[in-house]
Parts: sequence; structure tokens; C-alpha cells
Amino acid sequence: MHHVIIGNSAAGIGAAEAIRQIDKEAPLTIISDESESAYSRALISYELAGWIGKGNLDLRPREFYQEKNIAAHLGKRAIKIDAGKKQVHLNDGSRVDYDRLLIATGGSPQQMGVPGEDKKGIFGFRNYRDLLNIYDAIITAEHGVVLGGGCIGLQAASGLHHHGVKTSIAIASAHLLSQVADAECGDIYQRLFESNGIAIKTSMKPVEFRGVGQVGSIGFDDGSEMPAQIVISGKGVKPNTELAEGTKIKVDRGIIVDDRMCTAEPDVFAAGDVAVTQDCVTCESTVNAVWPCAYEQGRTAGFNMAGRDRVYDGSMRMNAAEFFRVPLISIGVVKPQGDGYEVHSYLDKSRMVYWKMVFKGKLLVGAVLVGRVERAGVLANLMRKHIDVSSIKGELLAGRYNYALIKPLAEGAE
Amino acid sequence: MTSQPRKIFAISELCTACRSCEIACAVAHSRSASLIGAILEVPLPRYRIEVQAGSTLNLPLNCRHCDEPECLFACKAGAVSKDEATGQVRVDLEKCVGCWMCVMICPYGAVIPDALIGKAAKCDLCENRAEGPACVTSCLTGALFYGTEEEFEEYRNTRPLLKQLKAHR
Ligand SMILES: Cc1cc2nc3c(=O)[nH]c(=O)nc-3n(C[C@H](O)[C@H](O)[C@H](O)COP(=O)(O)OP(=O)(O)OC[C@H]3O[C@@H](n4cnc5c(N)ncnc54)[C@H](O)[C@@H]3O)c2cc1C
Repeated sequence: MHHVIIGNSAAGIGAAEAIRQIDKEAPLTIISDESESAYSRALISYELAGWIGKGNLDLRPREFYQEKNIAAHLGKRAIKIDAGKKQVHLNDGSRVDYDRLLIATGGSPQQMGVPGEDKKGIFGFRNYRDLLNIYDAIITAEHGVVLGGGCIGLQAASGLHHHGVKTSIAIASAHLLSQVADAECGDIYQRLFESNGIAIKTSMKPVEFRGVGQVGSIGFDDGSEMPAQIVISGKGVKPNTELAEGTKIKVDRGIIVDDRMCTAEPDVFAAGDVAVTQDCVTCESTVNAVWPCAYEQGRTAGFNMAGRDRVYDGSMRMNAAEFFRVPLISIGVVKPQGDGYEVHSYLDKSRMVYWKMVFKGKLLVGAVLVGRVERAGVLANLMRKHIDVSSIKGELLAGRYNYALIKPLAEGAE
Repeated sequence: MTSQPRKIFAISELCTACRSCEIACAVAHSRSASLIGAILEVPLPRYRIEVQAGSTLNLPLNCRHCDEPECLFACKAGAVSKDEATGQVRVDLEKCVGCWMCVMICPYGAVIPDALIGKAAKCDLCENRAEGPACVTSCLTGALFYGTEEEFEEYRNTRPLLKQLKAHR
């Protein structure tokens, strides 16, 4: 049984580790178009911001492939899947046979669709290459603009600022972190960033990148212009689904999989930022492009590939970060739309403490925690397991939640 | 993995929430390894066991060293590993970047965001302490136990106090 995994990141490594947990012998191949040994792309922002200390970006020790008996084809791109012949075609002309295949190709930054976006000095922020290119550009850049106010955008801005670039963040929405949290939370971080010397402009969209060859400034839809020799786009990612072409694999935004992470093509699985899964809180089909989901989906796929039946219990929208020493965790539905939601929140602006909980009927469906994030996982567990919280709502709202509180309920739900 | 890893177990009925374990844990994770020394340290050492009070029970809780460690799955820094021989789940503090993914995912709330050092703090089973886990040796009522699950069952079944307590209720 030859297992082949396309992708050498969270989902791919999750699958490889699951396969090896069950089967130490079966041939296992990992293919990746990046030439680095498995590293964490989610740390390139930490590296840029100087937050990495003595560690490094390695996700696993370099000996990982050897120790786990994995053949790694790094720096090679898969260009086609021939599901009939059970073969993957690589860009160097070679072909790899598989019995079970996992597509864990992740996503790529979305184009902004703004004239001039191919000028020098404009970067996506997705992989190690981008990081190295940004390092090069920082040396000569005086002004930098980050387009996007999500977690990655804020980290990128911290990074430019750290390197002495005069940094601004420009966003289309009315407040920071609009995908992750609400205006109250966004405002806390806006004040933090501004007081640390990073300018923030809201409700404006870029219409043109100006400059000859190299970007020099950005024109916005309100007629304003901002100088920028370096621009980082924090726009979202789109799933890398190209390999599905010419196969029976269904694609709707991402690759459609069943609850065992199997695609419509037998023996071909998909996991991670490329896959559409069911959100276990909202029950909607979506791409939850976050690290823990990618790893667990990969792990689920890996078990099923190796012959151990394992059902994926669904993905969850979640994010954790910290800026200027103020931590943030956001889980589930945090900006409820429609009826039937009950929202409670608490804000202490001076201490930069904010929390919000969203309930639907007897269930907790969302939480934002700013400043104090202890035991957030207990809340995530309540959401994931659909535990009836009516008897403990008072404690939840008082911040007195811990495992002892939910243990009787959690055990009842199992 | 050995079939029976050694872990720290708690008998919540015997826990009086005196919090001796929390103090002993903090001292065990201080540089001075003494109570007075620990209190004077900057940053203050963080305890990794917490006596949690629920509505019906006291529960001294620390890392469960799970068979399916979600903190490991969620760790985007590759800082968490599971020792295949002992079952222990470890955090490599050199690699931890304090992103709090583990805090967000641990269903027990047993990974503590140590704000003073900006890194995740959790139970390391006092692996470098000759006497074994400090929380266990400090517990005044025998509510904490370190051993295999089988050993714990036997320990639990031979607690005379537990029978009395049950009869009392
Ligand atoms: C700067 C940054 C910060 C982030 N911070 C967080 C965070 O704090 N928390 C969080 O949960 N998530 C975070 N994320 C998101 C997280 O990194 C992703 O969810 C995760 O990496 C997804 O893993 P994946 O394995 O599905 O895909 P990816 O990590 O995108 O990996 C895809 C792999 O497939 C390979 N590949 C793609 N196409 C091909 C092909 N045709 N042939 C061969 N190989 C191919 C790539 O080389 C790569 O190895 C962050 C991301 C970035 C960029």
C-alpha cells in the first residue's frame, strides 16, 4: 500500500504522522513544491516581527523524514492526477504511483484585482519565499502599507514596524479584525497599534499601485494616496484545487470531501486549507483555513488511508493571537446574523479586557476573549460537543468556567 | 508506546481545595526551588496545576498527557511533542512562541498562558525531580496519585477515607 501525500505542511504532516502511528512499514511519499523541510508558514509573521527568539520555523526536526521512513520529494510540483492509472505527474516529468493519495495543497493568496499589483515591492504573505523577499525589500523601504486588518495583516504590520519601516494599515472594513471579531475588539487593537506608532486607515480600498516598475505609492478610492515602497497584501487565500481538474473530484470553492476526508474519487483524500468541511458549530459547509483544523483533517485522512476508520467531527472557526502583549482568542460565531442569538459582552477599555459570548438556545456558539484567554479551550469544547449550557450560563458569564464546571455535562454528552 | 503510561490522577472527593499542590508546583518550577525564594523571583514561577471548583466537585487539574493531544495537533510552532515511550506530552519552551493555539484548543483548560514569560506553561510531570511530581508529594489528603491507570485503580480502591466519605453523604 503506497501512500502519497501532496503537501508538506499542517495537513500533510498530520496525515503522515497518523499513517505512521498505525503502519510503520508501508511506503509513504510526501511531495511539495516548496524545497524546505516541513516548516510553519504561520510563523513567518512571528519571524518578521522578531518574536521567534532562539527557536526556528521548523515544524518537525529535520530528521523527521528519515526517522519516519518517508520519501520526501521536495521542490517538485504535482501538475496532474491520473486517477485511472493512480499516478501523480510531477513538473520534472516523473510520475509517482499511489494506492492512496492525499491532496493537502493548502491555499494561495488571492489576487487583489487592483491595477499595478505586479509591481516590485508588493507581496503576498504566505510562505518562506515571501518572507525572504520581504526581508530584501525592507532594507530600502521607508514607508510600508499592509492591506488587510486580520491577524496576519496585524502581524505583518508589527513586522515592518519592528524593522523601522514607517508602517500603516489600510483596510476596507470599518474596523480591524472584522473577520475574527467585532468592532469593540477591533477598537482595542486599533488604539494599541496607533499608540505604538502604526497608523490605521479604515473604510478605504486601493484602486491603483503607482510607481515605475517598483511601487512608490497607493491610490485609494477616496482619492487619497499613501507612500509605500513595500506593500503586503493580507487578503484571504483561495484553495489550491487545480489538481482536481480532469478527475471526478468535486470542487465548490474548495475540494468536497465526505466525513472521512475522502473525495468523490476513490482512494483520493483531501484535507486542510484546500478542503471544504462541515463547521461543527454552524453546520455549514465551508473552508475553515486554520492550523488546528488542517492538522486534524490530515490526521483523519491519514487514519482512513491506513485502514483505520475515523470520522471527522467537523471543523471550527477559531483563531488565537497576541499583539503588544494583549492576547486574543476568537471561536465560533462571533458576529451573529439573523434571529435566535443572545449576545453578552463586557468591556473594560482601560485594562484592555473584553469578552463576548454568543448563545443560541441552550448552546454556546461563539466567544471572543481579549486580554484574558485562560481556559478558552473549555469554551471551545462546549461548542464542539454541543453541550447544553443552560445550567451553567451564570458561571460562564461571570468568567468562572473551567473543566470541573463542565465535567458532569461533558460526560453526560459522551 | 508502553501500554500503561504513568500519569497524575486525582480523586476529587478527597480534594479539600487547600491548594497546597498549586504552591508546591510553583516552587518546583522556580529557579530557587524554595518557597521564599520562589516568591521573590522575577518573573514569578507559574503553577501548572489548578484546583478548579465546579458546582459539585473540587478538581485538581493539570495536563492529562492525552493519547490524542489536541495541543500537539494545534501547535503551529512545532513546540509540542509526545514521548512515544512514556506518553508524556512536552512543550519545548525554546520553540514556543506564545501564540495560544494550545490554550484555545485544550478541552481541559490545562495549558496556562504564562503572561510573564509569554509562553505556554503546563505539567511536565516534574520529570527532573527525583521525588516525583511535587503536587502529589505535597497533597495532604492523598487526593493526587502518580502511577499507571491500573495502579491508580488499586490505590483508589484501598482508600479507607473514601468509603467513609461515601457513607457520610
Ligand atoms: C503568516 C500566516 C500566519 C498564520 N497564522 C495562523 C494562526 O495563528 N493560527 C492558525 O490557525 N492558522 C494560521 N495560519 C493559517 C495556517 O498556516 C494554515 O491554515 C495551514 O498552514 C494550512 O495547512 P495546509 O497543510 O492545509 O496547507 P498549507 O500550509 O498551505 O500547505 C500546502 C502545502 O502543499 C504544497 N503544495 C501546494 N500545491 C502543490 C502542488 N501542486 N504540488 C506540490 N506541492 C504543493 C505546498 O508547498 C505546501 O507544502 C497562518 C498562515 C499564514 C500564512
